[in-house]
Amino acid sequence: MMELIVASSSVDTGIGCWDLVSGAEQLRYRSSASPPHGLISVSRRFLASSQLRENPSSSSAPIFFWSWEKPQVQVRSFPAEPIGPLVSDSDGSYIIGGGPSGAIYLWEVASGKLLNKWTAHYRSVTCLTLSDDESLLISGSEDGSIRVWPLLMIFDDIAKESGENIYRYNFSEHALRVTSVISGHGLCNSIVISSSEDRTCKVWSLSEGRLLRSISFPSIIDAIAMDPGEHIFYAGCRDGKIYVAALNVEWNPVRNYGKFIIDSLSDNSKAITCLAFSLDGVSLVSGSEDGMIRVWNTKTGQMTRLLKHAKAPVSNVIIFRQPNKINQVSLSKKLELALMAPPLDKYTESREDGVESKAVKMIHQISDELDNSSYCAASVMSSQIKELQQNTSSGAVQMELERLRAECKRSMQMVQQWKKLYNDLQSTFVNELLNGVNVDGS
Amino acid sequence: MAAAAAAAAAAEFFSGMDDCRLKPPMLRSVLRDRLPDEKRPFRPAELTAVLSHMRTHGLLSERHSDIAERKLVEAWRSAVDGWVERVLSLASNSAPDKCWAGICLLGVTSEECCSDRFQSSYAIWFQKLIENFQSPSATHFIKVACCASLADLFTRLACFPYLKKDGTLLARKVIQPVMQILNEDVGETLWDVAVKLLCTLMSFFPSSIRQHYDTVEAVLTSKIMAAKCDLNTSKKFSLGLAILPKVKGDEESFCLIIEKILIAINSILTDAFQGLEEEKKSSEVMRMIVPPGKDPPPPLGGQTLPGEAFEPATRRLSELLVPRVTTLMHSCCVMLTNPYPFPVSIPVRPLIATVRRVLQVDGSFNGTLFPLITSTHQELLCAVLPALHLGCLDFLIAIIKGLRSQLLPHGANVVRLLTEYFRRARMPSIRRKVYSIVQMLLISMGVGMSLYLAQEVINNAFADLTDNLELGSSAMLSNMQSSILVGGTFRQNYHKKRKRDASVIPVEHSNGVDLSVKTCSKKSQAPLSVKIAALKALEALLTMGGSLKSECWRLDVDFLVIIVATNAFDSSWANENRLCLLKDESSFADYQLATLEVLLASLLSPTHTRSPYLSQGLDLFRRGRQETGSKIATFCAHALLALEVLIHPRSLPLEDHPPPNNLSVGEGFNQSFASGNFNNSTKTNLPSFSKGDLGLLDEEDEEELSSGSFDEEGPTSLENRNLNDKYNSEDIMKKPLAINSEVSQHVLEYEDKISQNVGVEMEGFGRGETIIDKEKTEESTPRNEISFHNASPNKMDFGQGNSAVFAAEMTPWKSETLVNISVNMSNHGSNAPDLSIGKIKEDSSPRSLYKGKDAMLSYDSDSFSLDSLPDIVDGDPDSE
Repeated sequence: MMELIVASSSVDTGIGCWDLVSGAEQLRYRSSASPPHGLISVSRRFLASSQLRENPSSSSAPIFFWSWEKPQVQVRSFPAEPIGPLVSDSDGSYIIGGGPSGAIYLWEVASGKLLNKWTAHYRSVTCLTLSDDESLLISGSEDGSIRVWPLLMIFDDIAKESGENIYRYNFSEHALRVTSVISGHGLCNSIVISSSEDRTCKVWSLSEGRLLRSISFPSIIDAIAMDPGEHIFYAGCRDGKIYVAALNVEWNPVRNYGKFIIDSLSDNSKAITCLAFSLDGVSLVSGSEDGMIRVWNTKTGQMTRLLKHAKAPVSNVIIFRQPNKINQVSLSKKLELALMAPPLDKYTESREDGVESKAVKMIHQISDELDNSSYCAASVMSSQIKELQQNTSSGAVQMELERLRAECKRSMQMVQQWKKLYNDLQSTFVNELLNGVNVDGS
Repeated sequence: MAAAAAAAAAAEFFSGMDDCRLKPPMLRSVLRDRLPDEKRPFRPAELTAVLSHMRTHGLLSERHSDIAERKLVEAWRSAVDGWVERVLSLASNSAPDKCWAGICLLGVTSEECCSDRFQSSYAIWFQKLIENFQSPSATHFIKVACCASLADLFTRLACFPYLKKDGTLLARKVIQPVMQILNEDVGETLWDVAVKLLCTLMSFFPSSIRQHYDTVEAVLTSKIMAAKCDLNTSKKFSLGLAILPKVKGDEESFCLIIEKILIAINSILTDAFQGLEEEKKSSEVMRMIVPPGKDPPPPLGGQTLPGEAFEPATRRLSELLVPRVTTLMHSCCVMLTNPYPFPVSIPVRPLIATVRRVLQVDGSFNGTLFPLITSTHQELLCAVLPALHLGCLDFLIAIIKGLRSQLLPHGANVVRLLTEYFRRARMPSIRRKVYSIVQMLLISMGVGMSLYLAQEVINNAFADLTDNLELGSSAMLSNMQSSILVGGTFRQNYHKKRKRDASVIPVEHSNGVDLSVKTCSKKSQAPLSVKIAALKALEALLTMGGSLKSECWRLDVDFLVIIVATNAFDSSWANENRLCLLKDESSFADYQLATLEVLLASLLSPTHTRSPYLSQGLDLFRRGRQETGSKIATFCAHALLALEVLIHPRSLPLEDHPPPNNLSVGEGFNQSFASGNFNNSTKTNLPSFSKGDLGLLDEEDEEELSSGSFDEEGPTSLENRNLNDKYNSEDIMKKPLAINSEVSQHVLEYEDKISQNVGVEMEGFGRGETIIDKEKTEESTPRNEISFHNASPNKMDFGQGNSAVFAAEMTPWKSETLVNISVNMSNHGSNAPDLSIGKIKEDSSPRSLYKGKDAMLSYDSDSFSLDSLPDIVDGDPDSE
């Protein structure tokens, strides 16, 4: 399975797709101009991207879906307001998007229903991420606040009615717009890193709900990516450098970068807009305002590949394993249609009219493999033998009866045969005797 | 020379039991000596030997490692030819026993033989089987064998996709006789295999069934409704019903069947629960299944429920209730959890409503003034209710499994349903199942779920696990006193004292929660299986939510875990090999294993302090590892490996960024760790920031303090720190805590909360918003009432604890801090509403707590007050 780099731009230049290893360009998906954090792959089934407004006066902007095989937009949804950041869970059950009004929308992918919409922030939602176990949603806003939402709580109407805040934490140490937020590994003890236009990155503890570390950078950080071991993290800066900041390593203040900043990767590019880490744990991919995508080897600190996406700035870069195409080919046309998600609804269904929400069961994995337990003759035979030996069941008795009956019949036949033989013999002898007598007499 | 000799020897002898050349002669001798034929009489015991022989050695497989060996291939083929010939001739034998043997072996042959042979001769075999199957003289026994063999033949046939058409043709010939069997009263064994054959056809050759769709549905329904068969067979009927939609393979038929089943279940329930539940319940659920304005689907299985039509009046409804409902539910379970070739929508709300409906009926006259039913009816119903509840819990499990992440919108609903039920559940089997559901929910829905379930799990686990601790623990406790940390010892004493109090004068517990749980546990000791389930649920909780908002319960849970574990190993290591007389009964070894598992989770789950029981835990694992050959030893080895990382935390950076002085990292860590006060909650050992970071963090703190470089944060953290330092110097947080719901009122927790709230909420909102919070909290909406009285156990601890000191200490902070506490409590309450129901009278007391310092001071009267410093070791009051 190869890993793909997928990138989109803030100007309509389509979505570019490259093989991470070879750098070969794949299919280019058409017509997309997406805001930062607005490009996701929904459980590797399809690509989804929120779109920027075509002109500032229009009140809405669509969300597009592309299936992997076709460059054209497959599904167009028109949410109530232009959606900025998008996030989806690994099952591909939900798509969550944030709007400029500060509202967060949660759609069910399989039905397209808007399951929930709530006002999360006072200003525009700028970035969204899910915690490692996907039970907490972390949202960042233009006003600098970061909130942590337990997804279960969002659907808990009773808790909501009680008037409590449904968010678990509200971090408001950032003074300006939050530009990016990522969450680290760990069940309940993970860390969250956020970057902001106040030129800092802040590290938060989810278990304690407090700030652990704040790191000041020379310029605004727009993108962050965490090293898989969480020793360091990478911060893409508007000055074109990618800074390496310490999380779990000693900070050695030899280079003059600032506190906790260890190193930087630089290729004299324009501002870094997005970062993504590959699954191999070594390759870091960055997108830049100059329209180029750079692949870095984080071990050596060298840039290993330069890919040209467009003349316009790159707004999103994501990396994921290519979906399994063989599976898709075997599907019927109808099924394929069913697998592609329906458009996302604009409004929540009112619950009053009795139409209740239904979950859609997706095909998890159709396995045609037979397990050995599906054969039954041998076990049936064994149990029947047992029955026979113990002569317990009526069936066994019946068969025994049949057997005895057959035996009896055969014995009867035998008896008949013997009888006949005997009779024959007797008659022969009698005849012979009589004949003999006759002979004697004659 | 020698090689040639060896080769010659090899030609004569076999190279061992795996030698393929062994097989043809073996098969031939089986044929010659074991298998009955025209002359040799039939002996059942010998047939068993033949069967096992064939299957162990794969005598029919004709699979050879060396294809080039033509001689072997030939020999084997002719041997199998002989076998097939003999089996076929047996199958046409007029003697019923030989005929039966032939049919059975034909079935086994179609499973075991090689593909080529199967493809070339399945038609003949099928012919032979169907002849016997349809022959009027066939006995019951032979029919059973025929069904089983046919099922195997079709199963094997399904392995060859290009034979699908042929298979469908053959399948059509079988359906009529099978349906006939199912319609006749022929006895359970035959039904069992017949429905198995039907299931095989439905799943592999669906098109053959398509025109019989309605008949099949009707037949299966009538069988389920008649409820004459035992559990296994009825499960097969329900399986048949569940895979029926696959015959059509579209969305509508799936939804229709599930809808019909739900209606059937609910109409049965309506009849059974008359007088035991609210009247409108039934119509409510029905409305959910069929929304108003929509035509209800035809009833399951056709026009009338055939089962009921000719039901003898002697069988009472309560007798039929459980088998019918559980079988139908099992159908739904299979439909929910198995893959379906098309995406379908699942009516989640009606499903959950049905579960809720069943679980809410506990056999009491629910709110009806004039009981409509006789006490006999009630008695009969109560007798079967546990089985019904168990079936229903299985149903719930299937819903959770089937929905996976899509349960999210209904998660809170399910949790509420479950926690309500958990409080009422008394029976061991039911409790065990509820624990396992809780465990499943915790693991699948993660941290968010642990916020909801923590309190419930802890309350119940404490009740189930502590019931016999006192009996056997005194010796162990005194042992432990010398070995563990001072604070821990104190904790124990406290714990024991409290326990004794509970048993002697339970009236003193104004806390209704505690009381009810205690008395219940005193009366009935939870069986091992329940304890194991409780431990597993606790393990899941520690794993998923061990450090998120867990300050209030973590210490007590850790304490419980170490006590339970040491207790379990106090006597001896259980012998796993000891024969268990009862199969279902969990052995003591399982219990020990479960305690070790939860102990590992408790040690590994991140906290802000080092676990005081680390060395005890390590000791247990070390000893356990020496129990050679047991599961416990395997697990202990694993635990030692996992804990090794805890003791030597590794941070292996990328090669590119080696820390300049690798050694100093470890040293720094050790130093800071060793010198740190482990009960000091402010200098946290952040697990994600292990090693040298601790030093860094401290450094950072210091810098912040001195330079005030963080403008937004500076003043708060400064004050915060001062506050905390003050507490540390008072050492007040070392007051140990009682178990159960009172858990949440640890002073330590307050301290944490203060620091947290100050850190997060105060800063986050500014004063204005906090005031809003305060107002919200003090609004006495009904919801708030509940949350307040949930928080009522506070009172106890304020009384016993050092809250007065605490309150006095924070005078400058008074208003804000108190508000924060109250907000937190109301959160807490609604997440995990507490056990008791009728405690409204206590409602006022906790609220008065927020009114000011005076209210709290008035509680300052118990034995554990200012002088309860951790270094004072009380004499063991329980050492009798």
